[in-house]
Amino acid sequence: MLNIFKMDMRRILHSKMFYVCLFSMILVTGSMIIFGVVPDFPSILGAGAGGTEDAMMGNMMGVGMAFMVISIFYTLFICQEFTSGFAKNIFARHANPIRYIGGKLLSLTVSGSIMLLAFLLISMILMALAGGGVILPGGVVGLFGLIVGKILSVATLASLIIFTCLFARKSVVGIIVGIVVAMGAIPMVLNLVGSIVGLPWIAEIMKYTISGLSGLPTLTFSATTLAIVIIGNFIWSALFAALGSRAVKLKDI
Amino acid sequence: MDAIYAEALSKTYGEKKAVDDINLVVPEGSIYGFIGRNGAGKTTTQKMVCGLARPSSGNVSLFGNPIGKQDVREQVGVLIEQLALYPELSAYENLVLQGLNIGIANPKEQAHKSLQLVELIEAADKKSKQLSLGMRQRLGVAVAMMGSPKLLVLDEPINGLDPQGIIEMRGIFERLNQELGITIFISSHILGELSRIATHYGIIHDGRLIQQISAAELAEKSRDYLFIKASDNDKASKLIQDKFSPSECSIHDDGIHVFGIKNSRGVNELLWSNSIAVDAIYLHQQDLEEYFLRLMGGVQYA
Repeated sequence: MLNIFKMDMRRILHSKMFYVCLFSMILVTGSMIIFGVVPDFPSILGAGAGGTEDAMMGNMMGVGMAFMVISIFYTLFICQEFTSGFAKNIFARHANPIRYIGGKLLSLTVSGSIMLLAFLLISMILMALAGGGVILPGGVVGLFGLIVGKILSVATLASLIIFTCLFARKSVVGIIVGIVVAMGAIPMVLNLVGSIVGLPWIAEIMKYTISGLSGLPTLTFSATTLAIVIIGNFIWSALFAALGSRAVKLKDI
Repeated sequence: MDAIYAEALSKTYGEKKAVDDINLVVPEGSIYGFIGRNGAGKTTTQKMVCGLARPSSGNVSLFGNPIGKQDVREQVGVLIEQLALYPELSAYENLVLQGLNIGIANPKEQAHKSLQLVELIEAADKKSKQLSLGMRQRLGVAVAMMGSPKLLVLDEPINGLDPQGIIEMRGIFERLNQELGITIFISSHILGELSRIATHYGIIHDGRLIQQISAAELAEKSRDYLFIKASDNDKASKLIQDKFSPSECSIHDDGIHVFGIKNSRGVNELLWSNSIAVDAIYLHQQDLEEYFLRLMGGVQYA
């Protein structure tokens, strides 16, 4: 598992793809804050002002642009192993697919977390520049809880994308799945259906989906929320890791 | 001990049996040439041997241990179907990544050694997509060699190479086998080239392993013989055996095959003097390609 992790980290740090994704995420985030594309968020130059850090970090670091960029990066990173044929070198030398999935999960979580932390840092700097400083309603503990919650969501996203790529072996499928999760499309549709057919409990269940869990952590610390996020993400990650392992066993490399 | 032992190995894709109940034995230290037409089941067999494809039935063991064991996997290097290289990364970087993948202690040093082994040290910093086909093939072998495996599984490694490239690859395989004792399980369409290095052969046809034979046995089977087509083959055969005592003299549908003598003039004179008309007489020389074609029933080899 550690071998795969070390190999992946070297490839991540030696490839342009990671830096392009990181830069594009920072660029889009910065643009949104500076030009006030999103009206509720603080802006330096744009018309929108007066938004909160919670809205910015809570929403965008979870469901939204950050997840979208990260899922595209994950998909391209994994699928390149299969298109280049390098996956044969990997799977010929590792008998247990869990070694591959575990190593990949670790390296993708680390790289996704680096992107998220860069996003967080840039956001905070730009919001501070927007005026009013950075307000942390839950203090440092709240910020820490937010970061932990978001990193766990990134790990779950990695697990989902690993499974999707191992199963479908096509980058377009991985990217679509990533975008669907990042947009929160499934909870959105089911919520709508629930409200139309008069089943309000659907909305309650939807917060336990991957998209839903990624939106739960906020700067206001809540132990209960964090516990839900930890347990929920652990279950989703384990489920997709098991499915990914099954996909490797069923499909030839 | 056998490097590869596959028992009743089969692979089915839907209705089609790609590999059908084959028993494969690759002796340790050998260069095993795996021969068959396109679609005969070579690649599928090789993939099953190194754990990249799951057999529908049957078992594979490497060096006496089942393929599912991790320490067995660490003894195998593969180059199957296509070059397993990241095109955007340098030759050196591809090797280092493979070194990290298999967890060797000093991947950078090992990458240098592997580059030297395949004579690619000058191209170390070139992106693999910028290398010529021959260089990429050699790099593919170097990647497979990382971690000093005891077994190399190579699928068509000399395909598409120019004569110079083929000679270089042959030299590499001979060094790996003779100096480092690595067992090589290699498939190739270039039978003439394979016959220069292989110590054993397996011939697969329509998913079935129709023959396994050592190079010595093949040499024996395909050794030169005197071919004679006479008006009375039975009588001619008896006369030749009485007069020349050949090591073997057999009558076939097409004529008489006489092993151990090359004196066609003497045989011709003998038969004429006994009133036997000779329609054809010549020294027949058979190589691996011809042997394979005969085994396949004379169908054009693709």
